[in-house]
Amino acid sequence: MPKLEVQSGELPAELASLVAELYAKSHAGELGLPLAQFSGILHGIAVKYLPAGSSEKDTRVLLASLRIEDLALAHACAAGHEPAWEVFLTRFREKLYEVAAYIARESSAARELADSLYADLYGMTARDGQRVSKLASYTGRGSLEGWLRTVLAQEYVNRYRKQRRLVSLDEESEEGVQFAAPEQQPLPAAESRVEMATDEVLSALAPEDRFVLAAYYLDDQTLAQIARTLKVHESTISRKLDKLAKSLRKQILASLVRRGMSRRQAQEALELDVRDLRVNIGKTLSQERPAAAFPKNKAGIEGNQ
Amino acid sequence: MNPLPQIVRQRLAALPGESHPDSNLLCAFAEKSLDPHENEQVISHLAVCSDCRTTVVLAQPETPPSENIGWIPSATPSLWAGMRWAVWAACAVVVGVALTLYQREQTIHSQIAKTTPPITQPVPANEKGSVPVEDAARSTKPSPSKELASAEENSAPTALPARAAFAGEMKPDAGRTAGALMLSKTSGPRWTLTPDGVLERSLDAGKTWAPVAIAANASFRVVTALGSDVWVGGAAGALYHSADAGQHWEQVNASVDGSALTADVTAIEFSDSRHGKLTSAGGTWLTSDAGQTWQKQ
Repeated sequence: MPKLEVQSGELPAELASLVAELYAKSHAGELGLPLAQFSGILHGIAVKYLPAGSSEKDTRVLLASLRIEDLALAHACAAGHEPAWEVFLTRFREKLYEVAAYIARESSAARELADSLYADLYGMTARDGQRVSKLASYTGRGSLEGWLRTVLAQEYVNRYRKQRRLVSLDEESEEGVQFAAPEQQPLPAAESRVEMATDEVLSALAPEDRFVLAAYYLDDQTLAQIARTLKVHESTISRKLDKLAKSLRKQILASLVRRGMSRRQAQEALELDVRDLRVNIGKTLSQERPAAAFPKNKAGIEGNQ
Repeated sequence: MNPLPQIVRQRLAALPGESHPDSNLLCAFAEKSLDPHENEQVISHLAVCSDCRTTVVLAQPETPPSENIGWIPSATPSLWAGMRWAVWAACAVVVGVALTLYQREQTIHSQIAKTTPPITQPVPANEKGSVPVEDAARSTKPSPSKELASAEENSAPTALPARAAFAGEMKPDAGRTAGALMLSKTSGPRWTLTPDGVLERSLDAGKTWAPVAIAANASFRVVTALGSDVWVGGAAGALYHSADAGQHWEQVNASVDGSALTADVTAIEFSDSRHGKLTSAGGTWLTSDAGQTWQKQ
């Protein structure tokens, strides 16, 4: 199998026919995007997603899986071609405001969110004298509409975190507690053996199981929301959560017994935490997760674009 | 739901983070278009990153009102919990009113039957009074799900966004049964599209859905039905037609002067079984012979 050297600066000649085929299919020419530029975009995507030394077949599979029309449209817009912008605005102008309204749930915030994204898409900021459009970072792995939704959601999350931090600081200033020692979280002091046993059991879980637990117990997502993310029925998630909670308890108890605790001691260690959970559940649900758990700035989310 | 020991929540939240996947990968994850390895990587990250989990949830397409439970990230959980109860309470009131009206209608009918001679002529099916359950239900304010059904059954069959299910077996007087969907079963199939572009059909008024295999690798974006004619379109000019309510499907190759439809189909509208138009990123296409020939606008 011939190896593809995707770092060389352009796609190999073996892929020329595929590139030409994708170019025709994407209507990139009609949108004002030259073939050479289109090929360069595909090369950039291959470099981004394929490990060095990937086979020609892998590259073909990746390129063929791209939303090629959306990709051409986004990059033609990023390059400032008017026909592309006309198509883009026809398809997405109203949609973006609708999505922003759905995400922000408040009209002025939604408009501000959508306007801000438009500015980023159009490229109001310049780098080295060049207008930089956010659309240039779209790679066609998902639909353009889905990507726009995701970017809007990311922007909203960033704004929400910033706003929460600002409000929190303002409240502290008003109350004159800005120099007060930070309040300690009333979490129970877990015995190190319980922590180790829990970490061991959690690390053995499948990533999807950890995701379901975190989404439900940490984020308070509904069963329907988790189910939609994973494209399964919500009863599947409900069953999975029940099974996981029972299985986790059983495995942690077994692990604690292996670590020298009696069965009763192990049960008491877990029961203590359950009581704490019940007592604090209202407060816990109303609390923000610690700010340190989130990236410090937008670059944190968009960091590897 | 089973309570989770707090130590588990604490350690779950303390799992080490890592660099965030970019918006392209998050979007592709939500649309199920990643390869298994990438999918595993993204979900591993989502398991430890609240920000990205929130982003994925917020970026999901809107659901119909009956499905949209609503969620604002940790800001006002109690408000939404309260609203869920309010929705259930509203549904219970609507059902109660409908049943009361139905019983009253039945009583009136039995009284009429006692006081009037038997009717020898068959009563036309569309005459008022012959469908008391439906009329009783129509006289009450419909719940959101009924409103959806009413709008769908009353309006001209136009392409709907993904996950907006509707009854495919629409009859000329289908509007008369609007609002009665929850009280009487519809006979025809219903159609919907999943967010990842799979066509699904329900034969039990939306209780269960089954995927419909039309073409491998096809990703559909719009579906519309008029009687037994069903049209579904999607990525890369994919266009299929069934004339028998989904029993058999035929690929429709729309082309004008040798120029074929290759752009994503974003909307399909048919005014009758022969006249319709579809919209794609490349323009609008019209047919007046059920898709045999096309004109491009």
